[in-house]
Amino acid sequence: MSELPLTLNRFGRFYAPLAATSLLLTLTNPLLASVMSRSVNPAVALAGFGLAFSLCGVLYSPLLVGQQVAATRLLAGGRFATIRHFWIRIGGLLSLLAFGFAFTPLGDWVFGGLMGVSGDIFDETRTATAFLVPVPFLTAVRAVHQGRLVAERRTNPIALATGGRTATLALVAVVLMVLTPGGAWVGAGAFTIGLSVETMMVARARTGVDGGNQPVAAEGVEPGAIDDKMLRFSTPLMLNVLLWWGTPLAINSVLARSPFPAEAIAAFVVVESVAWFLAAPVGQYQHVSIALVDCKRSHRQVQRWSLVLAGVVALVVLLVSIPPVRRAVLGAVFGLDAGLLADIGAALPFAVMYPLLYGHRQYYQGLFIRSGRSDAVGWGAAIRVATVLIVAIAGLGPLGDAGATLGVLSAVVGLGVEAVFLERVSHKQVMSTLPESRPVHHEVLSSEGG
Amino acid sequence: MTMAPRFMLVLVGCVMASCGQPDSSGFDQGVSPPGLPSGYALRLDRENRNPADFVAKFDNGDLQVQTGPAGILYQLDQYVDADHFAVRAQFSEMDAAIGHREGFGLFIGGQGLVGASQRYTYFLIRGDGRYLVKQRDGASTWELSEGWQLSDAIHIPATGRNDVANELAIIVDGALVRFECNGESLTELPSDDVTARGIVGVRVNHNLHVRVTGFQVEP
Repeated sequence: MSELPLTLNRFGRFYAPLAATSLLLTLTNPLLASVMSRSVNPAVALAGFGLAFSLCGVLYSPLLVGQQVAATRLLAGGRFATIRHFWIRIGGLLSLLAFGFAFTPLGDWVFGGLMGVSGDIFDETRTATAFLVPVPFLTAVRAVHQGRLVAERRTNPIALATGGRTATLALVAVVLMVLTPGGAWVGAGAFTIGLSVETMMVARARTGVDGGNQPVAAEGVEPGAIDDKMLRFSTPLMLNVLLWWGTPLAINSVLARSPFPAEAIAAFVVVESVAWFLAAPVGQYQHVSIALVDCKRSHRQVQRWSLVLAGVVALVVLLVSIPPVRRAVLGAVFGLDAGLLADIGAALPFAVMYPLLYGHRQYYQGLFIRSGRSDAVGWGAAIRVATVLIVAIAGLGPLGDAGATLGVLSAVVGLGVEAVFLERVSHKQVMSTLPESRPVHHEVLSSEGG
Repeated sequence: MTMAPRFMLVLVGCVMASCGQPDSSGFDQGVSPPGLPSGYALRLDRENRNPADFVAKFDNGDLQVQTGPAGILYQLDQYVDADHFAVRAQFSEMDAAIGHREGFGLFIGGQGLVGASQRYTYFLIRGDGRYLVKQRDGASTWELSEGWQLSDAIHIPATGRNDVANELAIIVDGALVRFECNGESLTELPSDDVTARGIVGVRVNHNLHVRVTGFQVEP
């Protein structure tokens, strides 16, 4: 692919499917939040779901690398049955842990002690967690079958299954909401059913039927995360994935200790769902830098196009943040009272920075992976999460009353500090490894399906 | 990324401009805002909430309260300075949904209600048949009833969207304070644990429509 001249057209054709599937993946949260906001007790439902889902995210995020592992091993001649057996056992163990959180005293310590949750939110979180118990297991099964399809260069079934998941969970959530008083369990149940459908679809996709091999987005996984021969290379990337999925849990755990925890977490959940959905088109920049950047010249070109796209996305978030627009849009999408909508509205303008900082992060992470500097990716993630926690805890006093704003600000400052770190590493250590112009012979790491 | 710093500066400016227009219209602590019955004052839990979203009016002699934000409603001159008294009223949650977990009820011992050092003790019930006794002191609150407690004395909607009435009372009787629902004592607390002397009134949490009938203070 990189032997072709790098043009805007080629960039667009490469990136459009990634951006589209990324949007589809991130549609899940605003969909579920929109439905749960129509519960009898919307703030508690959203907060309970936010806490349960963020904990579940930490449990299942290590399994997302199963896709790369399966693909890599299959391409190296490994037996699919062996790979599947291994990942199913890990997924099963993590589901067992989720079961422990939901049904044993372990949950009292995790939800009450560690996450600082009490009262109604505690009950909602625990119930939602019970509905999410199968998620790690399903994620593992899905990941190995996605890896099988990637190894067979058949990524269209993966994209189709993602669409199937989104459609299913939307339908299930709406039906449950109409038939019941709602709650966090509706979001959790709908998500689990949607994921079950997606897992069945990829598991049933057979070999060699169609040859679709467009790149598709995967949830929070960096390409090249697993290399059998280089555990040191892979470990920082797995840590990076874990820390990315652990960030909402860290912020929610701080917000659970704010004066109005249910409202703070509920508003934060809604802001995050909207902001990350809008920012989704920049979320796959790591594929761009891995696949298209092979010299300083291409770096400058791709970075310019990426920045323009990130700027456009940021302007969209800004547009939605304008008070009359956000009142109209958020009021229509989320059935919340004026107070919660005000909290969401106050936090949303700060999320304008997400597309720029997130796009920057993803781009440089791809560049570092390509350059063999996965350690910098891991360090950047660790610095980001440490910053997020420091800002959130320090801001709990002055900004505790505006929990959603505190949450978004923490995330923005964390991404900002990570951006500075990545820039410094890039200038000092990575850029010097890139030739000024395209080398005649080169090797490109495949980013397909990752 | 030469364009980036300039672009970021412009964007940050736009963000700041976007943040400059709060959605709520401020908060006047303890002052009767327009829309409240004459002589009544409102204190919302959160300063960034709009008092206009907490609506109270009299309808055929009953006080109708519709929220929005959570807060307390009281008459400025209804201060009780006694060792023995009772406050009671009938509360009907209008259009009550099954399992609605927002509380409403009475408060006593209101002190400093216009300032940051507000104090009062409140007794709430909610649509899932639970009650709560809680103490507020400034921004801090703590539960005196160890969370929301289930009680059969509380009437709950049998089917969806019913109006359900419950008679609540707080009876201060020297060294003891009794919290009653429909004539049944739900809990008793030593008067040392609660704030009893002060303004009395009603508290209504989020997104509720409540009719308050026969609010009275008995010596």
